[in-house]
Amino acid sequence: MRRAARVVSSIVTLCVLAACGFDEARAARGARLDPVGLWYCLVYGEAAFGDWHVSLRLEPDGRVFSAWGLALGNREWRALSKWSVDDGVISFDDSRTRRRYEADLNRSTLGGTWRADAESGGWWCAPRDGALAAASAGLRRSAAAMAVPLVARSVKAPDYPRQAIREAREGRAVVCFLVDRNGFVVEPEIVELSDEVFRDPTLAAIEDSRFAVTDEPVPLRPGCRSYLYLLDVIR
Amino acid sequence: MGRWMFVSVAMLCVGGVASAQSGPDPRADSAGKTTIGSEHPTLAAGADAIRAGRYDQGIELTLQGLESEPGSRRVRAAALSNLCAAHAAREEPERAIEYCTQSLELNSSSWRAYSNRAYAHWLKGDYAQASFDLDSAALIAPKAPQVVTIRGMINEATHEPRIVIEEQQ
Repeated sequence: MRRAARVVSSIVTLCVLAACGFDEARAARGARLDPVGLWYCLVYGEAAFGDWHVSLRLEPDGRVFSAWGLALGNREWRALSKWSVDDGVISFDDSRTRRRYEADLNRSTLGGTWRADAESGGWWCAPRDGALAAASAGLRRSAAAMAVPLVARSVKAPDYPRQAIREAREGRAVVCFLVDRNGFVVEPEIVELSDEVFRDPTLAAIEDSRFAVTDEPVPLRPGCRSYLYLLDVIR
Repeated sequence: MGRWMFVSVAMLCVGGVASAQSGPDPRADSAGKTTIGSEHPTLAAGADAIRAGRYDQGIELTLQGLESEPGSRRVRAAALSNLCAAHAAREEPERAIEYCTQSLELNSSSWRAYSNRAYAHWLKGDYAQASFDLDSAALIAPKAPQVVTIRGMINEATHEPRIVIEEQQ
């Protein structure tokens, strides 16, 4: 009986963990991210329309659905291609935008790059609690919470590495991250980096940055920031 | 910091002591290093003194050696390059440039003389001329540590860093 209770307890625990798209323990152990679940994503890099938010739903059977912003009802979901994983990289296609989305599942959260004919960009997602989203009341609350925008409270500029100045090296770094309700940056990851010399100052700068605190019970919200390192010739 | 760095640079740019290797320096240039040997004791002593940071003594001995110890064009060019290095280490760029120029007139393939003259121009704040001389040194000895170091010093003086931040949210 006790053994059965322990088994049930373990199964329940596993189910709770599986319902969340983000498992800190898994990430800490270096295990691959489970992409199945609901995600609230920032998609950036579109030259014409800028950046926008989408919801993604990745089903265990391989189906992928997307919806603009915070999907509040079933009618808002649009089917994309099925997702597949090859050597730790998940990919799926959006035939309407002709984009191919890819993400490295060794990252701490779901996010990566998208490519279209002559364009490319990035995407970064925060997990949405599957249990909350299933209940309509919870969904409204979650949606409202998710709608709280990220407002930068302090933006820390990175220090230009002295070695890079001496070698006249310029470059670009894009870092994506999640922000908790206290405005702290969590789990920053470099998603684009033109030169390794800019990695440490970029991470240091984003970790020192702060966003506005919110009273809303928001889960983590995705954000990305790019840093362009330039050298102006002065004489 | 700059002066300390050049002391190290100058030491590396001093050409030849009796005990130095006689063949080409694989770290530096394909043109090789001119060894001022035992047949020029005063010049060799001058080079030693400059290398050890005794610039006044080194300058005096090298000037004496140039008068009393006739040598090949390459030996005289090396000695003049040493004088250039010593004056640059003493932050006397005008004298340094004078001696480096004389050295290059005798041996136009001396990357050390170009490098020393580049540093002297850097001291004066003439970064365009410093860069020009350093480019000449780099053509002969692109991987020479002194060339890399002085290039870094020029870049620091002539480049202003700027960072553009863009939010995606």
